[in-house]
Formats: sequence, C-alpha cells, structure tokens
Amino acid sequence: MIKRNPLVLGNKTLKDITDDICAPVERLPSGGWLAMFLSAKALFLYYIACIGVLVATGVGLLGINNPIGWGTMIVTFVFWIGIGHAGTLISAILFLFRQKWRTSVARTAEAMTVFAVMTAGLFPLLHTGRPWLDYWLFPYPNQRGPLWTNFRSPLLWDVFAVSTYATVSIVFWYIGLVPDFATIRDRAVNKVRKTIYGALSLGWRGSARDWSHYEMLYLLLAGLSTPLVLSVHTIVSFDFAVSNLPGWHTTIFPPYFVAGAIFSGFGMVITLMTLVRIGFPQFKDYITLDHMEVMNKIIMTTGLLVGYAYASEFFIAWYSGNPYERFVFMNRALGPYAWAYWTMVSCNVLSPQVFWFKKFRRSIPVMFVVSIFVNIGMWFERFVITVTSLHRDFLPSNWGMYGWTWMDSSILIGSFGMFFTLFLLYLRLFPAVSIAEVKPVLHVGHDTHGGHHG
Amino acid sequence: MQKVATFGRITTWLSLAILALVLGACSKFRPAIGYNKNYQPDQPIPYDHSLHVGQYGIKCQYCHNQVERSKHSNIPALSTCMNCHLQVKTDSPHITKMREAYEKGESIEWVRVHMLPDHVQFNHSAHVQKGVSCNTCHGPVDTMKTVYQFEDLSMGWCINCHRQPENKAPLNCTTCHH
Amino acid sequence: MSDMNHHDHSPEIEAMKKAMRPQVETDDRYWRSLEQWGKDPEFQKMAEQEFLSSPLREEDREDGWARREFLKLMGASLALGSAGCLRRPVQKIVPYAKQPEEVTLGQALHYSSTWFDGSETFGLLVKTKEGRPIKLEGNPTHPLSAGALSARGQAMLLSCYDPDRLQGPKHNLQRQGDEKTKEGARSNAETISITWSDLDDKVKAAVSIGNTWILTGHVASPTLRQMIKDFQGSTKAQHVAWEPTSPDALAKGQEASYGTGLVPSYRFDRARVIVSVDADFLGTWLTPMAFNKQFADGRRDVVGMSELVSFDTNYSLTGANADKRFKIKPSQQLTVVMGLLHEIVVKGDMSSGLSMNPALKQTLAAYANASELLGLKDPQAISKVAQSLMKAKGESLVVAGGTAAQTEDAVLLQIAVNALNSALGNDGFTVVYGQAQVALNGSTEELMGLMAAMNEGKVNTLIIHGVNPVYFLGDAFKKALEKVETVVYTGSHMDETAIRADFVAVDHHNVEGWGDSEAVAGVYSIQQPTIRPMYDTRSVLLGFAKWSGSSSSLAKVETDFEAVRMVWKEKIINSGEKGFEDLWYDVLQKGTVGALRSQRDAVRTAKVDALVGIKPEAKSGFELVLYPTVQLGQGELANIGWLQELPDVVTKIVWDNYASISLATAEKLKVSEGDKIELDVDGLKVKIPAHIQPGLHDDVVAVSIGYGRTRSGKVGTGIGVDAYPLVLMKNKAAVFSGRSVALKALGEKYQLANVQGHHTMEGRAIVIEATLKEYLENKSAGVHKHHIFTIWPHHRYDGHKWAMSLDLNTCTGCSACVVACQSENNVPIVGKKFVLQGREMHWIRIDRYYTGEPADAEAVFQPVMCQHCDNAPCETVCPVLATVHSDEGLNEMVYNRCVGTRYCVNNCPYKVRRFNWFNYRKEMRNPEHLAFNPEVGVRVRGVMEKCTFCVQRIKSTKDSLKQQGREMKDGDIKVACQQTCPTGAIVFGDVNDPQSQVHKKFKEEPRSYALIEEFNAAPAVRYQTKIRNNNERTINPRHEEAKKGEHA
Repeated sequence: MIKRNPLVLGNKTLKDITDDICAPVERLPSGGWLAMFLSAKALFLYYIACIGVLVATGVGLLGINNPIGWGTMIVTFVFWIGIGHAGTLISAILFLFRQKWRTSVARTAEAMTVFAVMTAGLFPLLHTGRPWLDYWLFPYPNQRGPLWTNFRSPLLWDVFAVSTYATVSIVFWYIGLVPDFATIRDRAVNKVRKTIYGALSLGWRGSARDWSHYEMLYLLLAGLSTPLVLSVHTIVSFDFAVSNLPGWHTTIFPPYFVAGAIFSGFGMVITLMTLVRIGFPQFKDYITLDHMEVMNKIIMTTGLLVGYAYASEFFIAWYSGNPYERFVFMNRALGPYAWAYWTMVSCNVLSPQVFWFKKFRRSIPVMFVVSIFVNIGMWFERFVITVTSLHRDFLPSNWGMYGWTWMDSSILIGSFGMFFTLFLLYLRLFPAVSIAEVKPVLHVGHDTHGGHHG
Repeated sequence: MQKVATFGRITTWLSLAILALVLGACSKFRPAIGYNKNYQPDQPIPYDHSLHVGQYGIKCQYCHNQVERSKHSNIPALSTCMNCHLQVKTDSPHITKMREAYEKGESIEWVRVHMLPDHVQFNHSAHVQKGVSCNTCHGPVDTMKTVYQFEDLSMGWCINCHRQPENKAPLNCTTCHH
Repeated sequence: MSDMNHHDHSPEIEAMKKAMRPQVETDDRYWRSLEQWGKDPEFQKMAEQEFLSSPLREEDREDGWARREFLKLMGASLALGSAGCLRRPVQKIVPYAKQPEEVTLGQALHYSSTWFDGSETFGLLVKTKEGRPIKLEGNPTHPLSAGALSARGQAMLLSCYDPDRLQGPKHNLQRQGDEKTKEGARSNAETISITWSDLDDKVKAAVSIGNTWILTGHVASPTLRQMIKDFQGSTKAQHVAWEPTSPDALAKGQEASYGTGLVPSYRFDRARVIVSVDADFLGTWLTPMAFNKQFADGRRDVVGMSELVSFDTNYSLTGANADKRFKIKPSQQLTVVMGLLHEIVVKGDMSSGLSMNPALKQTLAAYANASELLGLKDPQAISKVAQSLMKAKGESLVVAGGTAAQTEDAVLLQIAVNALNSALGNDGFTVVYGQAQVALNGSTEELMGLMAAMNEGKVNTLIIHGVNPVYFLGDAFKKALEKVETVVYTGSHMDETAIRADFVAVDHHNVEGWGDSEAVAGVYSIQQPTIRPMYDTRSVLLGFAKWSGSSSSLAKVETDFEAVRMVWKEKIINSGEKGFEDLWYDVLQKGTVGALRSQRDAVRTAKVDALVGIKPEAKSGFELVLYPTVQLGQGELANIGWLQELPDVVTKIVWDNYASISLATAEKLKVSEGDKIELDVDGLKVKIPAHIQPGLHDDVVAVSIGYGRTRSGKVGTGIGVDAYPLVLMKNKAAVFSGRSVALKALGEKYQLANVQGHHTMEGRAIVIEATLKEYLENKSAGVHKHHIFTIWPHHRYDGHKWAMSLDLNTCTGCSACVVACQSENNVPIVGKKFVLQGREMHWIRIDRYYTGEPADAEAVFQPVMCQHCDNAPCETVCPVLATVHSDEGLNEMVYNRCVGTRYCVNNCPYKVRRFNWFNYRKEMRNPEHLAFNPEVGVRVRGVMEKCTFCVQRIKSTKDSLKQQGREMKDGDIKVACQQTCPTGAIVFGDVNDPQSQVHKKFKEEPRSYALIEEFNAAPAVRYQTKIRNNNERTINPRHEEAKKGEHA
C-alpha cells in the first residue's frame, strides 16, 4: 500500500489539536487581526451608507440604463453566489466521497459559503426599483384577489433556490460546529463564554447517543446539500438562459455556470486559506501544502472546463447560423467591451495553467496570485455575460454603453467589506478547523502506532 | 455541566417555537392596514344622509346627478342644495353658512371619505349602468348620520365581484390600472 | 360649446387650485375613532365570539370564522397597536358653487380653436378637463392642417403652464440708454408691477406724442390686423411685420416674375414630380404639416406615387425623405435651377410659360453641363431630373426656399424657380397663386427701415408684438432700442426684448384668449379660450383698442371676444338669410370657414430678364448654412422641455445645437463627434460642438438657429449656441446661407446627447426598402416570409384585438407623434444629463437609419413603440405579474404592481420599455403639473412604463359607446400618435373587425411585415415597406434572401 502524506503535521497529540484550534477563540485578538477587522468594518459601514443613499434616491445612481437593465448589482450577485459553491462542495460532496483531507478545510470553506451567500443575497433585493416592495416576490396570501407571483419567471425560481441554499448551508455548517462549541464551552474558564457557547452547543454532552444522532444528521444534511451545489447555480444561470436575449439564451449555461462557480469558489478558498495560514501560523499543520495542492488541481480542472465552455459558446453561435447570436459573440471578442472579455479569458483560462507544474502548485505566493486572478476573472465573466449581451441586441437604434458610476464601484468594493467583516469575526469566535473531524484523521499517513519517534 | 446542557436544550426548543410562531403568523396573517374601512371623518356641514335619503327618500341621483354619465360621482354643487334650502330650514346655522358661501360664489370643502389608491381607476357610470346599486359598495348610506367607508375597497374585494361569471365583468389589469 | 363658457370657469380654477394645494394635515379624529373601534362593544363582542368559537364550527360553512379566528383577532389587535401608521392624507372635495351645465366631472370637453406658429396655421381641438386644457389636437375640419398638429403645436400647451410666465403687466423704471441696461444688470427692483390702467395711461400718453411704430411678427389674425389698421388710422403709426425667417425672398421673386408680391400656397398632393432646392417643406418651410399631408396623399397609392428629388445643403427632413437626394452647397442652388432651365427651356424647348428673352438661351448655355458644375457622380443627373419633370408637365412642382436658400442670390433663385414652374405649366395648379398665404408678408426691408428710423431717433414709441427682435437681431437692435423713448412689449416672458422694454403688456396665452387666423386667403379659423386667464394678462387686441384713442366701434370693445365677433361679423361671415348668430355658432362648432381652391388657374407668364447674364460661379471653401429646426423653429418656444428633449428629426440629438460637418471635413480637421470647433465668419467667431453628418456636402457647415437663448426661462436659457449673430443683413435682406466660413478644431471635448445608439442597420431587416420597380414586379419585395414553427397554440381573441399598422412609405419622421404621446401619457422630461446615460422616456421613438455610402447616405425612418406582442417576452419573466396580456391583445403594464426588476426590458427585443430611474415628478415646478392628463397615472420612481396603445382612450370610448348603446366601429378610437400624424402613416384599430383599416393592412397589404418577425414574438404592430421611387438603383436584387433589407 502506498504511503500517504500525513493530513496533520507536527506529530500532534489530541490535546495539541484542541489547544491549537481553540487558541484563537480563547486568546485576545492579535494586532494584525484587529487592523484587518477595523478596515473591513470601515468598508462595511461605507457599504451600508451607500446602500442607504441608493435606496433613498433610486437605482438610477448606478450605471444601468436602457438597454442595459442589469449591471453591477446582478454581476456581483452571481459572483458571490458562485464563490459560495466551494464550501458546500468540500463539506458535503467530499464528505460523501469519504475524502479525509477535507476535514481541515471544510469548516472555513463552509463559513465562506455562508457569508458569500449572505453578501450575494442582498443584491437581488436591492437592485429593484422599489426595494421596499420586495416582499411581493414571495408568494403570500394577500388582499389583492389574491394576487400571486409569476411562477414562470426565473427570477422567482432564484428567490427559492438562493433562500433554500442559504438555509441548508447555514444549518449544515452549524450542526458541524455543535461538538466543537461544546469543547470550547467545557474548556471555558469565564462564565460569559461558558453560557454563550453553552447555548450555542445546544446542550451537547458528547454521549454516544449525541454522537450517533449527530453523525446521522450530518450525513443526511450532506446528502441534502449535495444536489443544491448543482441546483443553485443552475437556477441562477436560468435567469439568463431562459430569457431570449442573444448571448443569454444558451443551453450550455447550467453546467457552465456550475463549473465556473466551483472554479471561483476554490479560488476564493485558496485566497482565504493562504491568509489564514499567515494570520494563524499554528494552522499550517492542519491546512498543509497538500491540501492547497489538491485544491489547485481542482482549480486547474474547472478552469479548463470553463475555457471549454467559452470556446463552445463561439462554436455554437457560428454553428446556429443565427445572425444575432453570431453578432453578439463577435461583439464580445472584438466590440467595445473586448477588454473585459480578454481579461476574463486570460484570468480564467490562461492563469490556472501554471498549475501543470508541481512547483507552482505548492508555492504559496504563486497560488495566491493565481487565486486573485481567478476571482477577478470570474467577476468579469459575469460582467461580460450580463452587460455585453445587453448593450448591443436586436435593434441597433437602441444600442448603448454601460455608464459606470462611483456608486457601482462603491457597491462592488463595499460587498467585500461585508464579507470580510463576517469572515474575520468567524475566525475569532468559531473554531476555524473542525476539532471533532480532525482528530480521527490524526494518524492518517503516520505509521500504525503513530505517536512520537524518539 | 448538566445545568448548562439543559439550558442549551431549553434555548433550542424556545427558538424553534418562536420560529414556528413567526412563520405561522406570516403565512396566514393578512394585515388590514392601509384599507380605510370604517373611516368616518367630520364634515364641515353635518349633512345627514339618514335624514335626506332614509327619511325623505331623496334618490342618490338627485344630488349625485352625474353618476350615470361620469366616472366620478360628483359631490353636488351648492346650487343643488339651494334648490330646496332656499325655502327649507333656512334658519339653521349650517344652512346659513352654506347660503352665504353660495351667494359669495364660494364653495364648501368636504372631506373625502372613499379614496382608492393611486393608479386605480374606478368608473361609476359603467357600474351604475350595469345596475350595480350604490349600496353594494357604499353600504346602507340611508342609515348613516355621517357617511363612513363601508367596505374595505381592497383589490380582492373588487375582484370578487368581477370574477362572478354572471357579472360578465372584465378582468384585465388595465380595466382599473393605467 | 357656448362662447360664454369661459366665464364660468372661476370656481373650477379655484377647485383645481385647492385640489393641487398639497394637503399635509392628517385627521387625528380618525385615529381616535380607530381606538374607539377597538373599544367599540360591537367589535369586542365579535372578537370574543371568534375567540370562543369552537373548531367544530369549521365544518359549517356559514362564515368560516373558526378557521381564521386566531389570526383575525391578531389582526385586529395589531391594527389597534399600529394606529399611528394608519395616517392617510386627508383629501378635500370642493364642489361647484353653481353647476355649469356643460361640465361633467371626468368628461373631457373639446373646444375648437386655432394656433398660428408664425408661419403655419393649425386648426385645434383643445381637450379640457374640469376647465383646464390638457391636450391640444389638430382639428380635422381645418382644410390645411386637417387634424395634424406639429410637435411645436402640441408642446405649445406647456407654455401656458410655464412657471416662468409673467403674471401681470410690468413697468421698467430703468430709463433707456442707461449703462445698466446691459444684460442681467436689471434687477426685479427696477422692473415693477403696474396696473393695467396705469400702463394704458402711460402708453396712451406716449402714443399721443406721435412717431409711433408697431413691430409685429407675421399677423395671421384678421381681427388683430383690423385692430392695428384702426390703431394706425387714429395714431398715424407705421406697422412693420417681420419674422427672422420670413419668406420675403419668395415674395420678391413672385413680384419680379409675375408682378404680385404674395407668397403663393402649394399643392404637393397634385404634383407627380417634386423638385426641392433646399425648401424643407416637410420640416420647417412655410406650412410643413399641411405639406406633409399633401406629400403623403401624393404617395399613398404606391403604384402612382409621386417622385421627390431634393437638392440639399443641410441634411433636411425633406432630403431624408427624397427618392433622389443630391448634396450641394448653397452657392450651387442657382446652378441647379439654371441647369434644369437649360434642359427644359433650351433642350426641351418648353418656353411657352416664359416671356422669352433671346439672351436667356445664351445665359443658360453656360449651364449645359450643370451636373459637372455641381460635381455630381452621374453626369446625366440633372437631365434625368429634367426628363421626369417634363414627363410630369403641368403636374410637377419645383420649390426653393427656407433659410438654407437665403443666400445673397435668394431672389434670383426664386425667379429662376418661377420660370421653371411657368415653363412646366405648374403655375396655377401646384403653385396656387390664386390663394396666397397672406399672413406671410414679413419684410426684412421694412425692418431695416424701422431700425434706421430708430437710430435717427425718429421713433418715439415702439410697440412690439409677437416677435422677439433683441434675441433675433442682437446688439444692432439693442442699440437702436436705446434711442426709442417708449418701448411697449406684449411678450409673455421677461425675455431678451422684455427686459429692454419700458412696458410689458403681458398678452394672453393662446388658450386663454379669443382670436382668429387666416391660414391662406379665404380660409379662416377661430381661437376660443379654454381656460380662465391664469394670471393678470390681457389680450393684445384690447391693448391696441385702448391705446389708439380712436372713436371707432372696434376701439370701444371691452373684451377680446367682442372684438373678434365684430370683425367676423363685418368681414368674414357674410350673414345672408341665415342670421349671424347661427352661423357664428356653426363656426365655433366647426372652428373653420372657407375651403381650399379646387379649380386650376391659368399659367402666368414669368419674366426672366433678371436671369439674363448671370454666370455659374465656382466658389471654394466652407459655406455656412443656418436652418431652423423642427423642434424649436425660430426659438420662441425654447423654454418648453418637451421640445428641447424632442430628438432632432435627422440627427436625433437633443438639448443642443451644433455645427454639422461632413465625414471628410471631420477627417480633415481631426475632430470626432462632439468636439468643439470654432467657426470664423468674417471675423465673427463662434465656438460650437461639431456633429459629423453623413450625406453632407464637404464644403457645408450647417448650424441651427433658435438656440442659445439668454432669457427664455429656467429650461431654455443657455441651451445651445445662438447662431443669429451669424446672419448677415445685406442690401435689405437677411443672408442665412452661403457665407464663407473658416473652421478651426479647438481640441475641446463636449458631449452631444444622441438618443440613438447606432445609425446603420448592420444588414438586418429592420426597415425594409424596395424601389418602385421592384415593388411593381413583386408587391412584397424585400419582405422575407419566415416559416415560423411553434408548439404553442395561438392566443384566442373573441372580442376586440387591438393592433397598429405603420406605413413606412408615408411616414416622414416629422416627430409630431412623439410629443403627442408625451402630452397624452404624462411622459416625463429627463434632461440632457440623463439622456446621455441612455434614460430618455419617450414611449414612441422614431429610429432613423442611414443607408448606402456614408458620404451620401440616405435615411429611413421607423417609429417604434411597444409592439404588444402576443408572445410577449416581457410577460413571462416578470416575477410579480406586473406586465400581463389582456384578452384584447394588449400588453398591459401595471405600474402599482411593478417592483422594478427591469427583467422585462432586458428580455424585450425592441427595448421599448422605459424605467423611472428617479422620481421625475419631483423635478417639475408648479403649475406645470396642470398639463397632466388625469386619465393616466403619473409614474413614481422605480417602476417600468411603456406604450399602452392609449388604453385610457380605448376605455373611455368603450364607456361612452356603452352609454350611447351603439357598437364600436373602425375609427371610433384614435390613439394620440395616430390622431396627430399628418401623413396617416399610423393606423390603429381592431384587427378582428374585417371592416377595419388595420385588418386590411394586416391581411391584404403585401408590403406588410413585422419587426424581427423570425423572433416570433408575434407583435400586434406591423410595418409596411418603404418604397423609393428611384428605379436607377436596386435595393433587393432578385434571388437574394430579403434578410439583407439594407442595400450595400
């Protein structure tokens, strides 16, 4: 049998693990963390202010217009939703496939999912002309006859898809946290922490009954959220695919979007993990270069998938013989927004190719840079799909350009403020690696007796 | 340890209960807010419908004379009131007030009772010609000392009638909204 | 329609004003009552009962209380708890004191009226609601405008509700000639209000001194003319009529050729071949709306359609509609006509209509090779045109004129044109001299006389009416004004002239006072007031009556109404056996008297001596062309947002004027669209943004007048650049065109707001064209029949199925419909900033595409509004069902349900939906909102809107028919755009009614096609192909699939 690389380095004992992982929660925050948190928070507050202005004056503050009815808001929405996918994939699908290496990254990846979906969820609600009437998007009994929603509208499917996804992934994530909360509760020395984590751990006592229920539930939830990984972005892609705008009306969108989502998700995971490794050095032993390498492989694969999608779109446009389709795609590559298109291609298809080389797969700086590129590229992919398809459609008379404003920039950047505020809080308050799951895989890769060797 | 555990369990159940309650309320609860049913403002002149309509049996159309021709049911001009009140009850302070206004060519500012939301177009003449009686929407005006809004005039309430096949009423949105 | 009715409006106005006053009070008693409602025993009982009622009662269906008991109670308590948030605006209803018998609330009244825009007279139907005019429409009974009303005519309504209007007579304390009289120096403190009696006394005193002059624009009103005559009679005052663009060259030309200096009227419908040398008769020349109608009449029957050849300096609307358009420069206009004369008189030997002068032939000989002289591609071009003219002998028409033809040789040009018309025997048939346009008698010569007199101090009192000379003439007139003792001005705004007048005797707005107009000799229409004057204004008729001090009965009138009646009794209505009163009421009903001359007059022999000896001159360098625009004309109405935001008919640019230059010139100067350039005209420098205009002559620089107002009001002031200073006053005539100009690129960027994103069709079958030849071979030439396969059954429409047909062959792109729609449907104005961001709100837009070589591009027009698709893409994607399909084929937009996801507009292939990015209503200033149409909701921020096929008109017509108890027949419903369309290009109706026009267009017309038909949205709007009566070209070569609707 091949000798496997250990999943946890540094010959830890079980106690070491607990200590390492609980440390950030029990220690006072480091100056670095504080600095990052405050800047993120400032950005978040600015974001809130901008949203306030936007709601008060009208979405006209954004660069959207006729013909480009959707802009930054929807682009960034799809972007964040996409980010969300890696988490569930790692924690649910890899769990079902019994991928032991997932254990140390799952928790954080899933946290990322939850926060990404929270960030994303705001956009569809805020981009409407009259956000205070958004509740009309939900079917509820009313005094209008009653007047229901239009179940044929992909936007409505979106409402359901995203809210379901958000709920399930939050529950899944929380359930995973319960035993660890209990651990922290039990280690807690001061009253306050004891009570809070006590409440959070939902009365976990670590009895065999608890464990068996826990594992059963975890398995079920894993099974439940696995299809969601595919469904959510499929339905998000329907927003475009089901319409009949050339450049949107494409059957390839569902798989294409899912691949892109996983791609961007792992990109973000890498970005965050590298940061975590820097911020909390003790985690280097749990989130090892092997973990990073595996994820880089996934990035490269999905990157190729996405590249294939780009290519086939062009082929189909040509093959369909539909002049409007043909025009739209020529216009993407050569039109006024060509720069956006080629940014997208070079970031998403070219940059991951460096991972063909083991050297780069295992180099933290390289993978960090590439992951940033992937994030940028994936945002531009959504921009290209949304804006360049809209800006030149059927009747040349109403062609136009997107009028990017300061508000667009604020919304885009501000959303990162929201995400990082939440994420940084998470790193401090929650055990960032699943104690309960890492301990069982402690001995993987060590010889059977494990333990110390002289 | 045990205490903490039970505490945790309690919180769990409590939160679940609250959640269920909220969900239940949201799903079924239909707020009547914004519909001014029973709105009954004071009028500058306490015109008593129960007296004029109920007791003296004056037809609605005598005063609201344009209701058959117009989408609006007009508040009668002072001249209409004066038809009778030049002779009848001329000493009453309210009538005097009205007569003075009338002679000055001024008018009376009545407070509007029945008000539909913006973007809702209601056509009285169309309904009256169909034979819809005034009471169907305005209620027993002939018993009202001061007029109040009898129905909630919500969209669902309108649709209810329009949906009845025997009424053959249009159900297009632009029937009322444009 | 009683003539007295406007006296009854007072309570209405009061009521209106009250209703408009924002009501901020809330009814606290109501809240109390609500609490009581809670304490109310009845209610308590109910609540208890509910609470105690057992679930068993769920079975008995009596009221199903039990099932909802808990929630109902909850609802009740919540309603109590949140009484505070139940506040509602308390609205007041103010009934009439005395019920005016003709007013039914909510029922629109139409009054016949009339409007004269300084050149064209329109018969009006003024639509009033509760005593306030809300829409102006053309009066179908008017012989000329025949139901059409120009964009400016539609928008004129808004000037009545213009917040910048003067609200009463004003007196300027500043003495003329003071240093401070300079622009802006004068403060309100120095311009005080004055009572009418004081004003009258002062003016009368001034007039009594003598040396009184009257300066007016064109006076079409017989009553006003009579008034002025009467005034002159008693005061020996001199009257000068003048408009900056008055066609006096035309009159002088007529004088020189035929001895009578009157501007004739024209009949484009009678002409089989029309040659226009810079006469933009479809856009701005003389009576464009009437001409549009006539032109369309001559082309409606495609087989026998007339041919229009245009020699264009600026790219005019006429040029855009021409079957053959030749780009020339001003100095070539004469060459064109002389060339044609040579072909016809010398080659064709048709000189019967000319008092032949032997020397003429030699002169003409020099123009034998006119085509080369003009540098036209086809050396035979001119002779081909001449050929078709001669073929249509006696039934053709050659016109030249407009400011673009106001060169130094303008009169010569007219003489030559007259010669052509006489030679061809058109005179008296297509040129109706028997029925002249008497009103258009403005004379620059007389104006110069007046200004000379002013400068010599010979003018003591100057009364200015209906014209804004300081804006038009600038410093020259300012200086002259300072030498005048007393200046009286009757304008409506504190504008360029008003600020320099001693007295501003504010005139009524057109919808406020009585008046009349004589469109062409013998065709009269009457102007009725439709609203009680909003401010302390007075009809100018009374002004002249009061100031004259004459003892005539006319001067004794107390109201403008009397004056008009008196004049009509004496001059216009010759009451025979039928008494005057009856006739008078008929007139008020109908609005017009008289008819167009039907018989053919004899051809007059034209004198040609003036033409002898002129030679073709080869001028080099850039030549300036100044032209009025369709939207602003001379610029009087610059303060109306509707017009500023109406896209220019050709360039589609809004809120600006600019210098149009050809592509080659732009290339040479290295300027791109919008870059500022400097025009240098004899040392006079003007900075102006450049617009690169396809199909423009390389030596032409075209700038529109009517912009750059310095005192028009909040909206119009400072919009664009004033081009009037570039007009040269030379030997008693105004030179608008042909001045040589030097260009310099300034390297300054400037943004021109263009509502159209792209100007060619990219080879898509959008506007389908065919030549007449192709049409005769194949009636549906260019139309590609798509084989559409659908798995869905089609919608069933048992009752009506509303549909619209647009004939691109008669649509001239005049844009009247755009403003009509804006006025009917309360479409907001967004301003230049937002147009730049692509947020214009027009529900109907007129797309203009250029076809062919950019250097001499042709243009096609296509009105596009919501296509009301059967398979509407917008309907499926709206998550809240805010846009749905009606059972009469309408695509309904429900504003109050819309949350504004904008998914519908993304999914709309025609992009006709408009989104309210902001609360545009807030931008309006009172009392502008009085122009709103109460039958159409005013949209708030964040909702989508679009063309509704004027559903409010459909509804109101249905209701009124129900009351009359009669079936609907075709033509009962006229939508706003259709109503005002001069060419009848827009047809609306019920396609399920086999008798309806639209049914015939849809089912029988082979030219008809749907926009992007292969998309299978199944629109309820169908277009008919445009036919070019030019068989030298091929647009749809055979065996080529019609997708290439556009020719290379």
